[in-house]
Order: sequence, then structure tokens, then C-alpha cells
Amino acid sequence: MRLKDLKTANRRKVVDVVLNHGPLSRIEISKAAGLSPSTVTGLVSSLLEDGLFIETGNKALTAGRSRTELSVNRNLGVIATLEVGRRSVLLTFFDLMLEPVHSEAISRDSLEGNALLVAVCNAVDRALENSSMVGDLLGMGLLYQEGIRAEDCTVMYSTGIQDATISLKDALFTQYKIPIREEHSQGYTITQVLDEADQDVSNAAVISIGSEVVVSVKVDDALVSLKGGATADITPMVCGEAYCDKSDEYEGGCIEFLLSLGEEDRIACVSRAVVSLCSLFSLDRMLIFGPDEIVTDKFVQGIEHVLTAVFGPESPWLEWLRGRQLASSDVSKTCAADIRRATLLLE
Amino acid sequence: MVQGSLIIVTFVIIAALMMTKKLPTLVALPLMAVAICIIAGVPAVGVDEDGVAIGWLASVLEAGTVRMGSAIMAVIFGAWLGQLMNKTGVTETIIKKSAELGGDRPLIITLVMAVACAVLFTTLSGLGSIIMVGSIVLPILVSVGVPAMSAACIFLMAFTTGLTFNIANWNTFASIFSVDVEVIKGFETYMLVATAVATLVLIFVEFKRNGVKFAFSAPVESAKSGTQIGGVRGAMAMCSPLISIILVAVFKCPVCPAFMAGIIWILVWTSTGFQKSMNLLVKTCYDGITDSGPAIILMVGIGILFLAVSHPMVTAVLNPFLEAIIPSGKIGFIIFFSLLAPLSLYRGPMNLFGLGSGIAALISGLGTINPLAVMGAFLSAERIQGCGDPTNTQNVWTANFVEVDVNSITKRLLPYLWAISIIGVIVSAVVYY
Repeated sequence: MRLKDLKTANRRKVVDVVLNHGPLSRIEISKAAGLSPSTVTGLVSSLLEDGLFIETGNKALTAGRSRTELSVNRNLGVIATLEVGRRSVLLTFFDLMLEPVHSEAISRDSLEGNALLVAVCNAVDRALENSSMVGDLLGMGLLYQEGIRAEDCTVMYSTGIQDATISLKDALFTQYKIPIREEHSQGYTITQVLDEADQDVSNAAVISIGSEVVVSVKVDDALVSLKGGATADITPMVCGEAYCDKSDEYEGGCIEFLLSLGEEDRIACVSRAVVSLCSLFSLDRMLIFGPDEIVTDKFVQGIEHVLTAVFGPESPWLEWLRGRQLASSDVSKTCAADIRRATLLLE
Repeated sequence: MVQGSLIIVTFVIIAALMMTKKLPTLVALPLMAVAICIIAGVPAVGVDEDGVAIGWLASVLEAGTVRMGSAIMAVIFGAWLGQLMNKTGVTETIIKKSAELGGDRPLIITLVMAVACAVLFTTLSGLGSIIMVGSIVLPILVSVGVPAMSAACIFLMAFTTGLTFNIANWNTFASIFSVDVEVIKGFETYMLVATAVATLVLIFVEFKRNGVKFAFSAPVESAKSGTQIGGVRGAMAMCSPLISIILVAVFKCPVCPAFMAGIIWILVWTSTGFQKSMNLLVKTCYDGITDSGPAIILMVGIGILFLAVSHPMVTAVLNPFLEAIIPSGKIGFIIFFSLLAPLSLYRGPMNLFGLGSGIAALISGLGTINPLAVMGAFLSAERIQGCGDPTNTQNVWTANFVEVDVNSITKRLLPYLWAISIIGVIVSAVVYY
């Protein structure tokens, strides 16, 4: 490895350690990164000079000596997340310590394509001019919710004579020239939840009941590749033909359909998916989350009863995450964390 | 006389409306076609003595929509393959590996990047692909000391070099000029050499002008890693842009099957599972069709205009005017088309993807110049339009991205492009006239 590449790799290690562990002293960074103290000192000086790191002023007691802690400079820039729903777009800005510094909801009524782009750009520009926002915009996350796909948000790039259709992601990149990460909010939530699941649990599945029913499965600590990548839409399995034939009539999607059913029918619908998953995969845990109106006590008992009846003592541990269907702040924060990592580590 | 004058006035008015952005091209071309037909006295509905429809509704509007059918399908399949290259990481891998190959010498990196871009754009098309490639290549060039304006010009020239050997484009030109793809390939080979040489000259001139040292070692901004494929599979996948070209150029395979082969090739070498591959195949198909939408509707307009201007009643009216203008003789041909080549800018009358297609049809229909020579002349002018037109989406995007004025790019590139065009016209005169 060339010297220049080695230096870059070591610099990334140092940044990675501080991102993972929070504020650390130089010696603590050196131990965590497996680098010599002198190497870390040199790299930290360069990072302090570049403004990426700051000395927090806190002193860590290490081996009897008081050493200054170093942290990522929260004021180096901001990261934005844009949660695109059917009715509104939520714009949130985070500093580099992932504290939200600004949030704004943009009404999406009759805003499509270029109008949506203009509204979003105006909101971003206004926010950046706000005196409480320090630093440049370093990256942006686009989180599509409620079944919205990237193809639903295309933009017309026109020179007046020639036109081209580009994605909202490309349009925002063209405008701001920053990394733009595109994700489906629900899939993000699932992946985040699986990551947060007990480290001892190697085999787990997550079912998210939202406008669609989305599942993700982890087997032997690795995400199983499903139809949509890390996730699969199992709405047809859960809701059946009755929903699929008339899905346009349910503006709220699957949630609205399930709420239109009686409790017993709702339990039967979701049980279908739960039993199928448990039959296909050897699962230790299943996490199900959905809105409070669906995940009631009776609903929980009903599903658990079905599982016990089918699988007996071998049924997986069911964990219920009520009200986490769209934990917006968690999702956008996770997205901002990923962007922060990618930006600071030059990934 | 009156009819001919009226047609020319109509032509000028609609051209002016197009060039001043008051009328979109997709409306202007069919409108012009219908106006020309009406002025020339072509009935809306009618049949000749053999029962063949001669009314403009059937023989121009209806027939025109499908005239470029095979070219449209080639564009769709090409866009499909391009989408696959982007989504599977092949495009990114090619650029990143090329950057690594260049080491840390600005000139070598620039040359390698130019070659990589040229190779990619033999297959890729659409603004989405420009954004994907440009967003990686342009920062790399700037990071090694190439000034933004130079980086933009080099990128666009490299793009145009590749476009010369874009087989979807070949099919489009073959449809416009009603010739075989082999004929287009033959002429475009000359244009490829001319454009590649001009690109090299541009690179060396820009380096000399800006004082970027050839051997100066500059830190290359670490390219952001995204989807990249490695190993043998990666190496085979990186050959994807060449598969279709080789099949068409060397083995004389038809264009759409060549693209299908490219699609299968890329799926085989990038597959991570059958179901995933099938999902990707379907999604990229739809995305490719969306991407190629503007080009498709433009070709529908071109087809309609072509049939309008080549309608016997229209040619009867216009030929006397054209005979007075179009030069005879090889030297006259060279001077005429060399001087008029820049009229392909701003969707002018020499622009094949607009009014130029109709004018080319008119001139070919005169019979005074070999149609292949006309083809060569217009393809030569297309160099200026493809790379230098400040109304191109790729030019505007590139200029915005590196924060330079789009018209300045045109001014910087025009000498090179015009020179290529003149060379093309001369070759055309020598080979075909």
C-alpha cells in the first residue's frame, strides 16, 4: 500500500473510531484503532486543522494522566433528510452530532415533479440561511414512505429546447452537489430494528405493518436477500385478493384495509404471514411493529395463540413494537448517521 | 413559386419559434410537417390511382410515427442496457478502475478518464448516465489540477467520441437516411478517428494553456466507493459496453439482438440470484423506457417531418428553390457544408435531431448530390451539435456542475468541432460525392 493510501486509511480509522465510540482522548483512539500514539497524534493534528475534529474541553482520566477528549466538530456542517410521504415532505437538518437543528414540513398537495423539487429546494435554502444553522450542507437522505417509489418523483430537466427526465435524487444532486442517499423509509426502519435486535439473536424477522406490509429476515446474522433486496412486500399475502383487487380504494393502504376488518379477521390476515415466515425460516425472534390501532392487546394475544397452536414450544419469541410503524425521527436520524459516516470517511 | 416561398417562410417562423424556446421540438416538427403539406396542396385524405393513401393524415402523420420504429426500439434497448450498466455498478467500476490505473499523474489520469468515458458512452445514453459518469469523472479531473472549464470540455469531447460509436445512434441515422447500418458505421469510423484526435489535441492544448505539469503528482481525491464489482466477474462485466459494438461492427449482428446479448452478458456476470436479476431486468427496462422518452417522441417528429418533405407534391414545390441554393461540384459541396455546419447549433437547420432531418431528406431527394454525401455532410455537422450545442441537457448539466458558463464551453470547443466537421465533409466529398 502506498504511503499516501496508508495515511488515508489510518485517517479513516481514527474518524471511524470517534464516530463509533463518541468523544475519546488520543490514547483511547490509539488503542481502539490499533495505531501507535504518535501516528494518532499526527492524524488528529491534521483532523483538527481541517476542522473535522475539535477538542471538547473534557478531560479523560487515562492511566493517571488527564487527556483531552476529541470529538467530531458538530458545526462543520449539517446533514438533511427528506422524508417524502403522500401528503407531506418532512425536511430535517442534523448537526454532526446528529442533534436535530431544524425541521420543516412541506405540504405535498398538488406538488409533483418539478414543483416538488422547487418547494424542497426553497425550504432547504431558507433553512440554510437561518442563522442557527452552522456550516455547509454535507449530504442529504431521501426517504420514501408510504409506498412511494423513486419513479413517482421524477423531475424534468429542461434547457428550454431539450428535455430529459431525471430522478429527484439526481435533481437534488445537480442542485447541491452533495452525496444524496435514497432509501425506502420502511425498509430503513426494518434494517435499523434488526441491527438493534439482541446480538445473541442470529435468526430474526421483522414485519412492519404500514401502508404496505414489509418483511425483512436475518438468518445467521446476515440479511436474507428477498424480492426487494433486503425487504419484501408481503401485502398480497397478508391482505389477500380482497385488498389487491381494490387497493386503489384504500388511500391509507394496508392499514386502512386491516382497520376495516373485524379483529378476528385482522388476526387471521397477519397470522398467515407470521406462520408462513416461521415455516420457511428457523427464527428465534420475530419483531412486529405497527400502529397502535392495529397492534392492540387482543391482536397480540390472537397472534401468539395462533403461533403456539401451530408450532407449540418451538414458536419464536414475539416482540411487539407498537407505534413504531413510522418512527420518523429514528429513521431520519439513522439515515443522517449513515450519511455522516459516508461523508466523513469518504465512502 | 408562391407555395415554395410560403413553405420557406413557414419553415423560418417555426424554426425561429423553436430556437427561441417558444415552441418545443416535439410540437414544432409535426406542426411544420402538416403546414408544409397543406401549403403544398397535399390533401388531408386521399388515394392515388393505385389506391395508395396520399393524404397527409395517413401518409405523413400516421406513417411518420412508425417510420423510425427500428431506431426507436434500438434506443429503448440501448437505454435498457445503459440502465443495467448503471444499476449493477459496471459504470462506476469502469471509472474507478480507470482512475486507479491513472495513478497520480494529471495527464495520464485525464487521458485514461477520457478513454473510459468514450468507451462508456458507446452504450450509455441519457442525462441520467451523464450525471452518473460526470459526477465521478469531473471531480477526479478537478482534483488533479485540471481547471473546471477544461474538465468540462474534455468530458464533453470524450462523451462525443464515444457517441460516434453508439450503435443506437447508428440505427437512428440509418433510419433518417434510409441506408444500411454498415454505411453509417463506415462513415462514423472516420468521424471516430477525427473526434478522438481532436480530443487528444484538446487535452494537450488545455494542459499547456493551464500549466498543469505533465508529471506533477497531485493527490487524487479518493473516489467515493459505491457499487463496485471485483474479481473475474467484475472484469467480464466491465466488457459489457463492448459486447454490442463488437457484435454489430465485427459480426454484422442486427442492433437490437446485439443489445439483447449485452443485456444477457451483464446479467450473467453481475447476478447475485435469479429472482434479484429478474427484478432488476424488469425495473431497468421501465427506467430505460422513461429515460429514452424524449428521444423517442423526437424521432416520431423526425419521421413525420421526413415523410412530409419527401412527399411528391412537396418536393415538386420545393425542388426549384433547392436547386438554386444547393451547390454542385465537389468543392462547392465542401465549402457549402463546411460553412453551414455551425447552423446545427441551437436546433438550427443543420441539426439532424430537428429541422436538419427534413432538410437532409429534401437535399437527398433533389438527386443532384449523392445521398450518401448528404448523409456524410449532416453527420459531420452533427459533431458540432452533439458536443457543442449549449441547449443540450448534457452541456447545461456539465456547465452547472463545474460552475462555468455553458456558452463559454461552446466557444472553447467550437474550433475543434468545426475542424472535425470540415474533415468529415471533406471525407464525405472524397468517398461519396
